[in-house]
Amino acid sequence: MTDRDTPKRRSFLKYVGTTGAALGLAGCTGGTGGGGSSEAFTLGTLAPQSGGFSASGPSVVQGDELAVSQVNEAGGVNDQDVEMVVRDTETDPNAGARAARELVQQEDVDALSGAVSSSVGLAVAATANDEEVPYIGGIGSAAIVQGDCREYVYTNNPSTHMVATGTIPYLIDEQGTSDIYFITADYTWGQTIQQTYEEIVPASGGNMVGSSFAPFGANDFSSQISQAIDSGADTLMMTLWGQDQVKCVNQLIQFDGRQEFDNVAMAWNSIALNRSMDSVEGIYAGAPYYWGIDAEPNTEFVSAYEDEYDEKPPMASGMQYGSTTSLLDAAQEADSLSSDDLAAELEGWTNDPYYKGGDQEFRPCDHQNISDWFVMQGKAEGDMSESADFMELIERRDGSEVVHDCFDACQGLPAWS
Amino acid sequence: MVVDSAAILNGLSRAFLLFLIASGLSLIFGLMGVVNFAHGAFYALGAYLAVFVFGFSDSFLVALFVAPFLVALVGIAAEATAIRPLYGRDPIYQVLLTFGVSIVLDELIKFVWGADPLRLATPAAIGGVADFGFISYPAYRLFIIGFGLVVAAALWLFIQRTRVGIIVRAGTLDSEMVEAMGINVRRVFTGMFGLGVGLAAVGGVVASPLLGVYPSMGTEILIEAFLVVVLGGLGSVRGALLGALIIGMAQGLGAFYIDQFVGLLLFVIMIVVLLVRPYGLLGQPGFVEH
Repeated sequence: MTDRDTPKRRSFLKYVGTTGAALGLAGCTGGTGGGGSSEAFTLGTLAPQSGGFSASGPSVVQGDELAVSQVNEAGGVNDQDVEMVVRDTETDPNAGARAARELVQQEDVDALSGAVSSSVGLAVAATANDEEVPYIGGIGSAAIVQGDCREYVYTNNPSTHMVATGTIPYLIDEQGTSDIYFITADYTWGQTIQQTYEEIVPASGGNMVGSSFAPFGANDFSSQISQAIDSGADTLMMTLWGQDQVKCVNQLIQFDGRQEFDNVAMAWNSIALNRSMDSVEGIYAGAPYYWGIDAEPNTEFVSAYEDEYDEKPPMASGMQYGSTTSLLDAAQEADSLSSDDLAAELEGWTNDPYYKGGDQEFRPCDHQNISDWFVMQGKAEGDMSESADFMELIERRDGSEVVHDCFDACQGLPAWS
Repeated sequence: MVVDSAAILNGLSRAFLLFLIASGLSLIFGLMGVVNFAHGAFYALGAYLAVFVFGFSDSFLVALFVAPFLVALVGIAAEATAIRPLYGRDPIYQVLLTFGVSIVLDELIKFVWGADPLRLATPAAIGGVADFGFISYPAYRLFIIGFGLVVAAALWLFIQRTRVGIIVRAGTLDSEMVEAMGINVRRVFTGMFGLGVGLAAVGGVVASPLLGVYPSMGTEILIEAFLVVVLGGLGSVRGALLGALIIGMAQGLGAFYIDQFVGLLLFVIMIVVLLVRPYGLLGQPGFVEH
């Protein structure tokens, strides 16, 4: 036994010795470089790998992985490959903030991205700002730039105002909608969108003939559907999140409710949900991203994503890829690993052409990303030519048309420009 | 008026769906004193296995019978290997254990089927809307009401009229005495655990065309199922039916007239009932303690 142990122990010591020396050397160069060119840029990705939104976890990580590997193929940031560290937010604000703090303090990340759900996003945003590390919020994170005006915090997710104004004016102007019934999620996200509907529907020339609300995780939409049918509305607008949207569409079909309305629309679309709907035929849907967007950078992204993961990119991946590509491009442009330089570079950062095609900007006044909004219409099952081919893009709305005014509250911003 | 009958049917279809799930929960608690936190996971497993069986058979009816049977086998295995050694211990052990079983099953489901939601289509034969002149209503929801009634009646006959039913009722009151009479209570326990989770799985299959099939479906329904069981009286299948009718109707009518307060309404009912009858509507005083 002892005979066999000795060489192992020796090689182990040798290994430790070499690594130790290498680490010492790296530390030394880093020190003399003074935050200079030899350090690798480290990205901290926050993903819900457990908890309520764990279904989106893999999509978030995959979007970031692809962005990082493409940037690395093109030479990386600061002449070095970008490193990426993933932490689980557990879909919980406290756990999310803890994960963000660990990434900053233990992994020494240069920027944060990700997190799904606004409550987690808000907790991460507060942590990132305290730690003075730039953070671009992931899907569902619009609220992080509203009200608190944090200089290190940006979002790539459309605000509730953009969701509300994205689809309805199109339906009124182009599809003959006039009387609308609303089935809306009964928590902050839905309620905020509903408030915007109350402003923009009359202003666009439509009527709100009724609304009913459903709590998160509601199972039965029969009452809401019966009331919508009885209301005599010509259009049904569903503003629901996740599986709730699937339940409502499927139950609407069981009620033969599709035929009761001229137009049926979903405020927010996701291909993961389209897959489990009985039919999406003719249903309008809004989204900030769809894999079928006809722009060359997007087509390249989609084929790279398919090569890597063997599926079409879901919305969470597309959004995450966009955020992280912007982040890394800005870091390259800033030519510095200082977080202040990176945050300053992001403010007013425009990417043209962006992966969706067209202009986009992190506007200086509140760090909201302004990008175009897409209105789509569901295809009949027979017309779907490939997997995940659920929707046809029918309208591209310019970001500046759908975005809200800058918040007056944010006097401190722009912080950098 | 049309509005009212639709709201009532909404409530009834909801109630019988809840009954399918809650009856098994109540049965397991009544006989074994086990608060089965894994009940929601068995409900979800039923739905996933139904999608799996449907993939082979292309028949909703086959899925409706085969999937719960498979879940019952999983339940029997879980009872025999994990839960049985804990009888006679403090109930907190069983709570922790069944909670653990639910985590294992949830992760297993995600491992096998992934995290994206799946779909079990409404069977074509009962897919449309049934028109009765004064009201038209989805046929599938009427099927749920009818099916729930049949299951309730069958369960009642089983417990009241069969030999096993007599043993179950006797075991609920005093399992030591039943054992002293020379009956293998352990085996009855195992069988009833299988039946209980099988009922949860039936609920899962029946719910799938309405709610979809997704990983967190079990956790979501478990709270409502506990609400029903506590309201009706722990351990009473009749209580589960009454509780399901009250909760279901409150949801059906509530969502129609006071949509934003339904969640509140359920818990107001719960508080009032527990203040007046702390052991539930059809429960027996002191039952939980034994």
